[in-house]
Amino acid sequence: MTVQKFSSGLTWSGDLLFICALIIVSGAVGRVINGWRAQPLPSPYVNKSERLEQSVQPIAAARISTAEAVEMPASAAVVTDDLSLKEFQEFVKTGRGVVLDARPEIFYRLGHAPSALSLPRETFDKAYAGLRRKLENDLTVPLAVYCSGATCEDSELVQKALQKIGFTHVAVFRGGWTEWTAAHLPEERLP
Amino acid sequence: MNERVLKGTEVISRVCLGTVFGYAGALKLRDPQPFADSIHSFALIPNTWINPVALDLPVLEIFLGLLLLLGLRKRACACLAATLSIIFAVALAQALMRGLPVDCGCFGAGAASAWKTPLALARDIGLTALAIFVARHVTERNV
Repeated sequence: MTVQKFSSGLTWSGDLLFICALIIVSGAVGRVINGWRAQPLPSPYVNKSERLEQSVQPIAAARISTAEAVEMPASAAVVTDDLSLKEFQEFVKTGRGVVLDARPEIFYRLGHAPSALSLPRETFDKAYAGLRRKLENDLTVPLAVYCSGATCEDSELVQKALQKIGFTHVAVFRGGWTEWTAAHLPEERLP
Repeated sequence: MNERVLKGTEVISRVCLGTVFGYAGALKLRDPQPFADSIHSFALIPNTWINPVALDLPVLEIFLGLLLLLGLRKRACACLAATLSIIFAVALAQALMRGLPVDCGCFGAGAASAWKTPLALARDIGLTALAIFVARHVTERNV
């Protein structure tokens, strides 16, 4: 009965008014929900690169303050090669460096390159804190970063963040997980 | 066409629209940051508008989905669903034409991919057709 009453005999102006009211109410509810979030969305929008920059700054600053403890070869040159599938496959196989997965952790759990460590771009600061000891022993250790595929920018952003922290050999596998799985190469999963 | 068939089609269309909008809104509301990133990737609106849209649109989609499922204000909701679907389709089409690597962000976080955008565009066209059908049926039958 109520349903019929609401939906019958309506005018177009009534519909338009209803739509406007719905939009206004949605806007208000959206703001209230954002206020309740642990990390509300700021205004204006901060892009991925800027957000990563903000989370890397304290890490880089902390590392510089303890730089004396970590010996850095003065001649260490910055190497930022892109790896082809074949090169990346070799990198993984030989274990000559550390493989880093820049995708969100859920995707890492579902499948990642063998021995890869999770370092998601979105939660870089938290994930890096867990890997810090392992990685900062040697800042010249070769690192290879990948994300979903050729169109994702996360591996490149993580590469820049790692360089800012002081790592000298950070390469990107641009083909990413799409190319790796398309080639039917081995993968590891987390329970 | 048989009135019963038309009525049945309207109900199915409305339930489909309501489910898709409600589900899409709920996923985006849970984590609005990836959705804001998706909006940014379309390079269509100024940065000051991105987060308000990322916060408000999911709530609007949830309300719209619920109203469509409940059958309240059917014509207004169908018109709004059609308008939103057309806006999404236009955004996706311009991204395809400009060769932008966008993630539609329709159902929360995801990675941009070459095949997902045309698929999302086709889905939006389908949703527009369903919404127009519901709006027309409600208007003609005044139900």
